[in-house]
Amino acid sequence: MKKGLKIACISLASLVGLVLIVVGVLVWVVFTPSRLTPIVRGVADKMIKCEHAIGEVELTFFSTFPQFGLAVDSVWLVNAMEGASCDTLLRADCLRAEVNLRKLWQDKSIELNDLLLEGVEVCLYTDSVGRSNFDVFVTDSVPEEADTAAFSLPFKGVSLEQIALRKAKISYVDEQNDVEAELVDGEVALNVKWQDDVVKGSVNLNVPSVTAAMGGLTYVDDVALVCDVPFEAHLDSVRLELQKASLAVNQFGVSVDGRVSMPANGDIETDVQAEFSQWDIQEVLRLVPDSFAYLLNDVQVDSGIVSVSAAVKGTLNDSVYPVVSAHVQLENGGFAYSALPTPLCDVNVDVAAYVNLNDSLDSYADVHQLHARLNNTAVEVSGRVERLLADVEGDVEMHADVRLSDVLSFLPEDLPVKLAGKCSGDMKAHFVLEELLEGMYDGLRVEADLTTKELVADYENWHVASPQGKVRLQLPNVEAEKKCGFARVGVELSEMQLCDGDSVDVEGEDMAMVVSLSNPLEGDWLHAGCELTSTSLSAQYGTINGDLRGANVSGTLSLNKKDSTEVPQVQAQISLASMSGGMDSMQVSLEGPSVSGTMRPSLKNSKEPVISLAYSGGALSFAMGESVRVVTDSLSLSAQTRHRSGEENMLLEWNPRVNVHLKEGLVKLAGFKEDISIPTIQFDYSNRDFAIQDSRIRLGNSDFQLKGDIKDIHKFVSGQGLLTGELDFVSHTTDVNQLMDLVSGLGSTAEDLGDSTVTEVSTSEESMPFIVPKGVDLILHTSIERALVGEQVATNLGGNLYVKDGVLILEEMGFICDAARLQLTAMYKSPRPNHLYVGLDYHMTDIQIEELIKMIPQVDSVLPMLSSFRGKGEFHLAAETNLTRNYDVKWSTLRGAASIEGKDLVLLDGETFTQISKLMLFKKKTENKIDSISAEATVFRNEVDIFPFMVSMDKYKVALGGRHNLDMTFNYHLSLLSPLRIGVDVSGNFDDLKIRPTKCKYAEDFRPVERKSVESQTMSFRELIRQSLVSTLKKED
Amino acid sequence: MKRRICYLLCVFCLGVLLNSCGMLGGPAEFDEGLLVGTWVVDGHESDHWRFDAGGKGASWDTADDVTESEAQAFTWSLVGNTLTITHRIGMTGADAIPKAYKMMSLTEVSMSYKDESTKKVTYMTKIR
Repeated sequence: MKKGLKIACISLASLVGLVLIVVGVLVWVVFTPSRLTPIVRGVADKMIKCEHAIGEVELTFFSTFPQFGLAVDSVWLVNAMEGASCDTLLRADCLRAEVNLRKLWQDKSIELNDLLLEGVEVCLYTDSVGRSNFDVFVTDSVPEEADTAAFSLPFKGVSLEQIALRKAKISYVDEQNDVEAELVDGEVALNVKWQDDVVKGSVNLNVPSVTAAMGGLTYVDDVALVCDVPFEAHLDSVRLELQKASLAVNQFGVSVDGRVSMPANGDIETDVQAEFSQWDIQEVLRLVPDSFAYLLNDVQVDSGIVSVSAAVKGTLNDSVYPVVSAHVQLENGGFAYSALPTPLCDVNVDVAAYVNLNDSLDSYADVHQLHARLNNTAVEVSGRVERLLADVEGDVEMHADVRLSDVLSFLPEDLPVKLAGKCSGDMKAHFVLEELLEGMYDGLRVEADLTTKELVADYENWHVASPQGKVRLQLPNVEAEKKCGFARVGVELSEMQLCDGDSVDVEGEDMAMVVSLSNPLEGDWLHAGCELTSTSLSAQYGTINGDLRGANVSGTLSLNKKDSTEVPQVQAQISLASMSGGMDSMQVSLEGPSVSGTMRPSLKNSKEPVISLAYSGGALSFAMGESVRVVTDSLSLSAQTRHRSGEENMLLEWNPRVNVHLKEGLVKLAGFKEDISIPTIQFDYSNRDFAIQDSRIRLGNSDFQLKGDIKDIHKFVSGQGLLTGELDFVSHTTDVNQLMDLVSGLGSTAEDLGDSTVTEVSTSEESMPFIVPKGVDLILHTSIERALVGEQVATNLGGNLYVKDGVLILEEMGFICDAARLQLTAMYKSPRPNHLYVGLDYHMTDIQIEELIKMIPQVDSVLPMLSSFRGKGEFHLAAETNLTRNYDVKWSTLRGAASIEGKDLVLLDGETFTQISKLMLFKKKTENKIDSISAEATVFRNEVDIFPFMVSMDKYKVALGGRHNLDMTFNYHLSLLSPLRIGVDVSGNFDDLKIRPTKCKYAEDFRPVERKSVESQTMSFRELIRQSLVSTLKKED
Repeated sequence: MKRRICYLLCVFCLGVLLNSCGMLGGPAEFDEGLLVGTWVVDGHESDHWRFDAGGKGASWDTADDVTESEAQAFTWSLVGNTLTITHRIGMTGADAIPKAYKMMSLTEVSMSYKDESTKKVTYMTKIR
């Protein structure tokens, strides 16, 4: 055994020694550098046309054991070219190659185990016309025929285990395409095993510094590039497979798996997956070259870790693209964007996307999570976005917790707004992005439920606060009718306060409001509906305050958006359990008021509104301090107006039609001792007919009723005709004494009433008098069954009152009382405020003269001697005068005539007559009674002319007459006609009486001339009235 | 006293005789054409009187804020030295209030008349 072993060892040693000897001979004797180097240089001279230099070529075995190798100590290629940075195309300090001779001998395959270049420096350059400095290899001048044969290796296989570049510096400049790239200290290793159309290998690249630019822009600047790409290429099927290939730029690595094949039809089949994880976005962005940094000027990334896994699978050709799916995750992102006032933080994104370029409807993104926080406001979104390449359609859910103070940062700094409180809630939305961008919101579906807490908002002096509230938003509004089906906004507030400094203060409880809307951006019309309920709502504005209980308000609005001049359609109902309010000292309260109203455009002209309003309510109470208090049991009112532009008069412009029905009203006035009771007021008003069905008022002992119609109001206000009307004023009882007592002192100053502490006047000196309206033809039939005047009871008081085109006429207003039978016809005109006209035609028959003076004291001024008589008589007065605006008589315009007749009158012991009787030596037994007296007087300005009349008493007949002035001076003449003829002039005034005997002016057979001055005046006056009435009739025609 | 009574009787008798013999002459005649025009009362210049030809006229007092267009009508006549003015009511033309005066003087620019019942003389100046 040992021997055998020994023999074997010796044989092996001999064999090794032989091999070594052979190798040594080959290396050091046969293939010496001096023999190999010229061979290689000769080959190079034939293949390379540029200047080149190849150092010493050496065959190696031991350094490349067990393979033989070739080592070249230096290689130079020099191809100077204008524009190139250097002349040297290639410089390698060392080139070494290992060849597996056994494989070559046995399998006729080349196994190049190692091809190594060290200290490589490559300078590649292409000028602007496309000439390159690396075009240095000799080519045949004869054109090659088209190679139609299939490609085949001359060997069974080629195995290139490793091609490596060490310490390589490669620069590439292509001026034609404006590309520059540079690799420094690169380590490149390429392992290839090629056998039977299958190439397996790997590419390893480790470059500490890579710089690349194109088009003047630097895309990569001094970045480290590391690649480890194992691959398997099937040349027969043209398929490349990658397995766990990794590519890293600086520290950012991407792993790629998959395969790419190119079948015979020319398509490219792909199935590639790539994945990277935990990239720090901040670091990634540092790779962005300066030339692109401006793109990120508005964005500042504070933090963020991003991970992506993506896959590309499918066929790629001219018309078909592979589908791409990707899963992107971002954790702890932090961004600042110039458009956002505050940085976003806690940004977490988890999105999976699927992109199919072949079917625009088959791309989507699943947002598993999108969370971001802005200060104390957080938003979280999830959902799916489909059809990414077409009409992007999304279904998303969002939860938001908003601190309203964060919203402030989005508002202009100079806006005086303060916000506080929280708003949180969930929202679901379905949208089509393109529709949103085009302003089409009909396809938008949103459901949002938000809650607010401790909401406080301030804008200048305005302050809004609500401790808790809910907001619900629905798009579309499935609960409303179609035209308001776009959106529904519901707001519920447990409490609400709204104020504007001290001027406005509104507080509400349990308020609920629902607003329904049509799409405001679509269609020609905007439709809206609103419902509001509140258990309690109180408001105060300055001195105005209101308190509503059980408010229930609903309404709709339709607005033509394209024609802002068209009248909107509005419909509203308001019902309240109760309402109370006030302004200053006024207070009003309503029980169960209900108001409904509509506004719509006119059918004839859509720009003109037609408004309807109806009010009904129970008890109403109104008070103005302690001075006025009004109470009604019920009040109903309905009104409709039809607006007509171009009319100057408000009535013609609005054409109101009003129906009012008030029942059981009671008015209490502080200055009135009696309450004013209003059993009913009911009327219908329109511009054509103001019909008062009934209006009754009770005041103390008096009652009044007014009925009738006033017509042609529209003609009157437009100046096209007369206002006509006929009213009946009926009173069963009118207590004039009580009425005068009630109104006594009204409108007077306290000073007038004796209170010197108050100096304010109630009427100014320039106060307007009553101006009789022109264009009016009204008749008021009065009928007072019983009137209490003084101690008299007037019965059957009646007559007509005309208002006729600027003239007010009392026609034969007569009544009967115990003292007299009276009849008054009067006329009042007001051509201008300071020039009024009054005409009177006044008759009193069967009147006691002393009662006459009591009733009309002014009569004593006109006929002062009447105070000396007692008995029954008749009094007639016709007069006219103008008045100032304060109803003072313009004495220069006073004209009049009066007459008085009396029979069996008793002469009183007047002072004047006593003196006269002494002078005339009357018998004392003579009864102071005269048979009759008939006196007439005219009034001109302040002059009263008493026409001579005769008084018979006892044996005396006296004729007297003269002038009496309204300043109570007089100048009378008395002629004693029987039994003596003697005359007396009486002049002066009652304080300074001058009596002088004089010649009798009147003849002995004096008979008074019946001048009929009053009748003349009366007839003249009647003529004036008739002319006034007739003139308007003519005008009306 | 007797002497005074004698003087009075003499004057009375002289007056009676002169009057009976027409020694004092009849009433003076005035040209009514001179009356036509607008007059104001001396001392009360706001009181206007307009005598129109044909016996019509109107009066107004601007102190009472009455304009000429609002004046009140009258009719007038001047017979001998008697000026009769009859004021009308309401501009209707019905005579109502007669006034008689004794014309004292009448010139182109002035006139005076006397109210016999009160002996008051009114002086007027024509303004146009």
